[in-house]
Amino acid sequence: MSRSQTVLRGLLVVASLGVLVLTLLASPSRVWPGAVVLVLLTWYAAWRPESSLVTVLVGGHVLHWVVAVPVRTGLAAELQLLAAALLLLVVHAAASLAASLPPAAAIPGPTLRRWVRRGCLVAVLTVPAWAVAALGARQGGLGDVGLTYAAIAAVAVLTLSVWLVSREASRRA
Amino acid sequence: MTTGVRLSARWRATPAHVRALLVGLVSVGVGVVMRRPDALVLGTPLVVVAIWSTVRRPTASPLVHAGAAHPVLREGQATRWVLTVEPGDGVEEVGATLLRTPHTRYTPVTRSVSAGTIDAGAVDAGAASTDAGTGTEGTTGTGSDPTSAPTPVVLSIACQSTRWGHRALGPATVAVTSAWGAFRWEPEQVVGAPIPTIPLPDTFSARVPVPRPDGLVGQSRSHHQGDGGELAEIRPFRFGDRLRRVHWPVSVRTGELHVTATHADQDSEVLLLVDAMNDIGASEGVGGASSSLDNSVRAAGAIAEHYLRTGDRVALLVLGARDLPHVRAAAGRNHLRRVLDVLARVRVGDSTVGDEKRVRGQLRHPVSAGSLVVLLTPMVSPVVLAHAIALSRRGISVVTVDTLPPDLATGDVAAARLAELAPGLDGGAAVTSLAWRIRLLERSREVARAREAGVPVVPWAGPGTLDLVLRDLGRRSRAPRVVSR
Repeated sequence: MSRSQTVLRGLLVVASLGVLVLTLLASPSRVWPGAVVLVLLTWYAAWRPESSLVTVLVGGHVLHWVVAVPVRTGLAAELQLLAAALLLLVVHAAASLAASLPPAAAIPGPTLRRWVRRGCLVAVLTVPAWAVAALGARQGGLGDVGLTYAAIAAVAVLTLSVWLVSREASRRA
Repeated sequence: MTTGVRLSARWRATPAHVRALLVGLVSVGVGVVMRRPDALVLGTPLVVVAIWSTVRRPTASPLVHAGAAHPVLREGQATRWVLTVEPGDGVEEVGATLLRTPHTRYTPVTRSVSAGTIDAGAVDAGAASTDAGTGTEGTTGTGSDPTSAPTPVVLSIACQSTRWGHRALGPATVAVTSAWGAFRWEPEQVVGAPIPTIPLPDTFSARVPVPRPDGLVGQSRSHHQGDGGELAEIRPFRFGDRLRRVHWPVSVRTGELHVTATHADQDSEVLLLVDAMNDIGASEGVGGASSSLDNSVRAAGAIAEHYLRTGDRVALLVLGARDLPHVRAAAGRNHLRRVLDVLARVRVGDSTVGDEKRVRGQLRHPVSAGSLVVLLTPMVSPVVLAHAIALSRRGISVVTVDTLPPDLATGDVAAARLAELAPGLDGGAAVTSLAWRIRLLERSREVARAREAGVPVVPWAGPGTLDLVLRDLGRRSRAPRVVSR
């Protein structure tokens, strides 16, 4: 395995363990069995980043957070959430890049720069969503049923548009 | 210009894309339905990546060709395995890996290239990326002019063939991926035709001519008198002698016309018999240890090269090899290539009943009168040595070249080497050692019998290997003898 691939997989492990540590720090009641499973999945993901189990790892992190951490307000808690989201992005991107190229091949410099640049762009795009979510959580209101339905409809429209775009792309191919 | 086989495949979504899509949308959905803004935040980057990947999905298959740069190699020579990718829209990374095969060396084994297609905000578009130290090289597509065709990405791996024979490069694994590694274009493993590697002949030269040249034109001194360069005698003038051959000093002194007579320069036929029934010893390719078959093949190549350059005719017969033609005697450079091609296809026999039958058939080969037969054998099989004796009794000049590696020709062979000789033998190293010593004793007795029968046996030693025995054979060929026909 090339040095750059080793570093990339190390980054994946660090990011995954970082999400786990953040979750455990933020959680009032820690779910230790879940943490152990996530650690094991992290090592497996570093070994086989092309595996479908990486999906289980990323999904497991989200599930672990949702189960173990209640909705909190306050800047520290919200920054923790943002950090966890960005670390999750790092886990996904590192696994994707590691799986894209042969393990023994060094990762080309332009490829690395392109992925870092795009990762930063996605991180920047995440901040508004985080800010809106944080504001929503601070409102603390019971919410409006109409808005909830609107949000559900928005997610459905988003899913439908992604599906339509992919369908259109496959037709062109 | 693209070379090699065109590869075909389809773009497929990778687990990375499924992950971004599934986890992202489910997280956002859970966040909305269950009023969990944290799930919404956690899922947002993945949703963005999924949408980005879907929008930048490749629309057409890239044109990919793979193949070796040279159709034929010499032992130790290197070529390039070249992958040429004409990236379509959406292609970003190209990677290739060659799996190791015996007697090949790759530098590096695997390569990856950034194809860098047209992309909004892509700073690296249009630039070349070369990093010899890390094994990456390639050129990116054009970024400034969307109408121009993308520059093909060339990815090459240096492949060295370290042993004669047919060497397979690969199989190779090739993969082309899109943005965020979301879609992958991966053909089946690329298996190219094996590349013939012709043996690198040892250095060989012979100062002594072959015993009985009997052809038309050549450089070997014949026993017959005729046009040539070597003085035979000065004799009285006979009707038909050319005037320019008159030797005036002798003619003046004797008062009678005398002429110089020369030996004719003729070519001879050299028949190379290569014993491929056994391959004894480890074969590590160029620069490493040589097995008996390595020695035989390289020596045959060297002898053929030497005699063909001196204008003689060379024939080749590989004993015990399957599906190899008998190369008839001919002269010239092209014939050398033909001989080397056949030598590159030599494979050791598997000692089956079929092999023995084939050898018995091959041993009935015709031999022209006046030919020099050079038998290259490790002399493990007594059949070949018996054949040499039979040829010698027919009055044919035979030289046997011993190609057994010198370190195996003694009784004190290390246990590890003996284990290579008989890998599946029960009884361990002690039994193998004893068996090998007995075989060597039998072999030395067979060699002594062959020498008594007039078949010289010499170990292969490169230049001058045949000089001494050819001189003896030449002397013997001029003496009267009894021949059984």
